[in-house]
Amino acid sequence: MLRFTLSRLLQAAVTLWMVATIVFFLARLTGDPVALLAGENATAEYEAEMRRRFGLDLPLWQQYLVFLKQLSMGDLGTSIVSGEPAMMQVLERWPATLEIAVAGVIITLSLALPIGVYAAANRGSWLDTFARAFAVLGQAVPAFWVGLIFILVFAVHLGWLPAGGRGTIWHVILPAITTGWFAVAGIMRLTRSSMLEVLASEYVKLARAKGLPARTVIWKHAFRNATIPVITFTALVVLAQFLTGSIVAETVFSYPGVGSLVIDALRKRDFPQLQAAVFFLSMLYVFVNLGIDLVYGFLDPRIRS
Amino acid sequence: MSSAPVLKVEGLVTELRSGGGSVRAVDDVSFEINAGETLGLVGESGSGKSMTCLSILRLIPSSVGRVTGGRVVLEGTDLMTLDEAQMRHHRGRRISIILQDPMTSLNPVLRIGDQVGEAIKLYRGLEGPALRDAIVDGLRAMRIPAPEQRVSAYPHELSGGMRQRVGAAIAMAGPPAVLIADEPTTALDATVQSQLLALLKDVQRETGLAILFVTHDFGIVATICDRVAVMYAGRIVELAPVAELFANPRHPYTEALLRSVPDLDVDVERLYSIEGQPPALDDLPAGCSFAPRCAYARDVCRERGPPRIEAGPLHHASCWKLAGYGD
Repeated sequence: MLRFTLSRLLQAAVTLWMVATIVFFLARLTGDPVALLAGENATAEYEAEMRRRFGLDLPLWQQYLVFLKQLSMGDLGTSIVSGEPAMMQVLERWPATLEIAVAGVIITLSLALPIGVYAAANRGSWLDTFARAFAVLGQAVPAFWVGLIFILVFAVHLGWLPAGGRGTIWHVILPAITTGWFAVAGIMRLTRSSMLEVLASEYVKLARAKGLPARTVIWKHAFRNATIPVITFTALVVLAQFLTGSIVAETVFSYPGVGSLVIDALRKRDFPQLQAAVFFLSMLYVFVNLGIDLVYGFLDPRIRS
Repeated sequence: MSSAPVLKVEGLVTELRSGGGSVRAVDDVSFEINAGETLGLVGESGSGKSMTCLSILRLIPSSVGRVTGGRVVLEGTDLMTLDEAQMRHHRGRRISIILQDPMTSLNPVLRIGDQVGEAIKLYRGLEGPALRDAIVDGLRAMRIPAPEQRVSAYPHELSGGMRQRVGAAIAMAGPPAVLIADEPTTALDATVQSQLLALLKDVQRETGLAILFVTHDFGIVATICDRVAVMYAGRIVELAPVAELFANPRHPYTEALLRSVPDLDVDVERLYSIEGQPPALDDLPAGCSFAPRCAYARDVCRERGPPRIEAGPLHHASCWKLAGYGD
């Protein structure tokens, strides 16, 4: 187990190094931040001075080495735009992203799991048919469009919920559903197919042959086995996607999270800020991945030993 | 022991969905089992043995098919007339099943004690320490070593033979009047297999259990069964006491099956096997289903279903040859 943990940690470190490298070079493909910062009328001396200040005058490979050296000491640099430590901005905005992620996962699971289980247990019923149609719809419609429609219906026409910004629990609902919409469909489908597979298994047959009530067969014998692939998907795709990929929802609803910070930094070519935000999100993703293996062990005793 | 059979199956028909229509996986199957008796049910894969078992327990999923005819009388109650809740009351408690593959028939995420215990709790209403004692006793009765420790084990921590004993402990939790053993030893190696058979025989001697033993192994039939029914394409083609069937098989299919059991004392160039394949259920020939593979088949066999002929006391077979081809 210790060996396993160590090898996974090493893998994680390699992954993060690769992410940092890719972000570093991709960011520099977007153009020169100084041109944006200094404005059109700036003198050549002023621009050169700024470049020197941000270390952008060095050759690219030297910039990269400086970046890696700082990174190894946990320093992700200073924002070119605000002049503050880049990581501080990320950490300030992180709770907002977490809010949406947690609300999104709760909403998603509380819809997707029961519907998926019910659809599998009552295969061919109207709810099963409806759920499958809904799943296709959910996966075919892009999140930004769903977000705009939600604003139109619930904020503009009905006036029930705020159209954007952060503050109360009401502000969380629409972005959370927008982020979760796609995932509900996926988890529902996965729960359904996973349940169908488990319901056809021999141990479920035996559970029925024991004379157990349908409720016990489904929830005690089938559900826990069926959740194993669902947990992976939820964790890897959904949780990770929610934590890291709230970019669309945060932008549509002007929600001040890490997602919108990424977009902001990208727009202003704020390299250190972009690197810090993306590195932070990648780190989360990798740690969520590690965490899943532990949850697995809890659910499935075969993995534990 | 009462004189009335514990389990009486009459004219059981099970239809499975197939494409747009349906096929008869169990076709007019009838037999009886008395207390303390073991009836073997033999036949090739796909002959309808397992479907017969599931039909008796009414466990065919509605998406797969359903029982469309016949009676299954357990201790005087026709199970086919019960509603689902009443049926559930008999399942496990009065009629239980051991499934074929011990590797997949126990729930991988639940402890052994829980899986045995939920049956005992359901049938006997035990709780707390009394339940725990009953679980340990149940495991010990199936000769599982160190039952106190096994209670908290997970299925993957046990060997195949041990898991099948756990399956037996669950099946005997009622204790039931009838046990359906659906090829319970097929997945086990020979030594473990004979231990399990010996165990079932001992349990039967003590409890007067009636056993329906599904197998395709005539060696097992000879070891454990009193009478044996031979199934082909969903029908019972011959039923006889074991010694009688071995000595005097009347149906050509039974004869061929017995010939295909290799004899270790006789050297042969090639092992005997029955020509052709069992028919697909959605493409059964007219007349006798076995006719296309039968050495004795004549025109009448290919036109009309064979009559059931009483071939001796407790011995019957369905074959035109025995009926003189209808002349």
